[in-house]
Amino acid sequence: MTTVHEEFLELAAAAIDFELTPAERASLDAHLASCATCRRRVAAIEADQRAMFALPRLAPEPATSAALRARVGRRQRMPRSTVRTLAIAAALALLAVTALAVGAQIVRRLDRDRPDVTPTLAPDDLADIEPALLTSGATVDVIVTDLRVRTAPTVDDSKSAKLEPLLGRGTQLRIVGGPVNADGYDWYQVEAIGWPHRGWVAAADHDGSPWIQLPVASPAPAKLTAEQAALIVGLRPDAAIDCRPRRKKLPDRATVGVDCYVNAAVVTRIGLYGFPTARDAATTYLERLAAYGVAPRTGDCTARTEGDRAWQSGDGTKGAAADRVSSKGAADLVLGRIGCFHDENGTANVRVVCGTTSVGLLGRDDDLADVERWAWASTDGRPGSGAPPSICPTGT
Amino acid sequence: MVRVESPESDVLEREGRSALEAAVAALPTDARTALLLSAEGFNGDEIAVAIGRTNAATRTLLTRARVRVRLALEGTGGAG
Repeated sequence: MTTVHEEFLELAAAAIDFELTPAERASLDAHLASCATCRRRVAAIEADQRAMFALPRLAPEPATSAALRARVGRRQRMPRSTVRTLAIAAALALLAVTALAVGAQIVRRLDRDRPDVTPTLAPDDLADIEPALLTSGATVDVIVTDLRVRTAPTVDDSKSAKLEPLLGRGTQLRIVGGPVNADGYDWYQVEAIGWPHRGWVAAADHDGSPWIQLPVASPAPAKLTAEQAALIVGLRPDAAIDCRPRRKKLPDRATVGVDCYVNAAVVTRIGLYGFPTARDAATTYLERLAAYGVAPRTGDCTARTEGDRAWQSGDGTKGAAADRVSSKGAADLVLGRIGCFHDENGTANVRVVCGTTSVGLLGRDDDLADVERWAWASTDGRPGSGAPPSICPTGT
Repeated sequence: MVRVESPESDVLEREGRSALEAAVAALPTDARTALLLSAEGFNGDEIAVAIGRTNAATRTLLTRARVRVRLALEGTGGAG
């Protein structure tokens, strides 16, 4: 490969992640038009990009990746060679996110946006959404204290009988028909789950206050910035669950943080924090342990005793200052460490320093050994082997 | 068995995942993180923020990493 060809190979590679200038684009296109070898290599580079996504041990599991993309509101992976593709993908991603956010509010919006007494359908901008959300089969919750069910969609007692009892707040209803607009209400035919009712209910009061609503399940997925997402690239799939931007204060020296609501048998939540240097991460780690009365190289988490040890080899030996951290006069501690303590609530906590990333694990109860074992789960690494606990994201 | 040919399957079959994996694993941490974020769909500007470098530096980093991976897979060196 000659230098001139390599130059165009680099331009083609750059085009995957960045917009080329018009001059660069023109010069690349002109060269590719006349160089079959370069076209083949460029196609190979673009194929590398797609194949990289499928790498089992370098990228998160597909399910995790899909969740990650959903959380950060990103497009599916696809060629980014044209602006048009990008625009379509971005629009699709935006639609998906919007649909989630809108879902829980749709009943409220439909009614608020509709003039109270006008017996018409929803405004045009919502007409497309309505049938998809409150059609037969949808499950809704009663969100008022008492909801009347009637035999027909009208408040006219001569045409519709009141069913007893009234349905309480939280009762689940399955939509089986409707909506029918009558007497200024939108009526849906419903079956009350766990009740003998099958009848018609009005979806909202005249003022638009909803009486039934799609269940507010989990809040819309939080958007991660690229910097936050970088923290969980390579994180164990069983740990990269429901990860959200850190809301509470970051640990000292940390510049970025993510909390993952793992909800596993022994671990409820983990936090991942990024630091400028590994030494910063280790220093904050030691300070945290000291605050709970845990000194370096003491205790034994596997024996349910608060403590600290190095997972990295070379602890207790002299080394470059940048590779060692000091605590109370001891200046020979390696940076890769794991420790455990009980927090204010008596709950087991484990902390791990993985290079510039540190991981905090919050247990379900006071069992330090369970949480520590989870941090190491499914790896052969153990302190002394020099291998980090598996909870450390690959590449940290 | 009918199989759909694609550039990905071509790469995976001809060169094997392990070769690509090894090539990516051999990259410096920043370059590897940048490539994986890119594979996840993040664009160059976002990746630059994530790894704390300028756009220009990130473009150079990613470009060289891609070429280096490709050359490693083609067995023509270039890994230094």
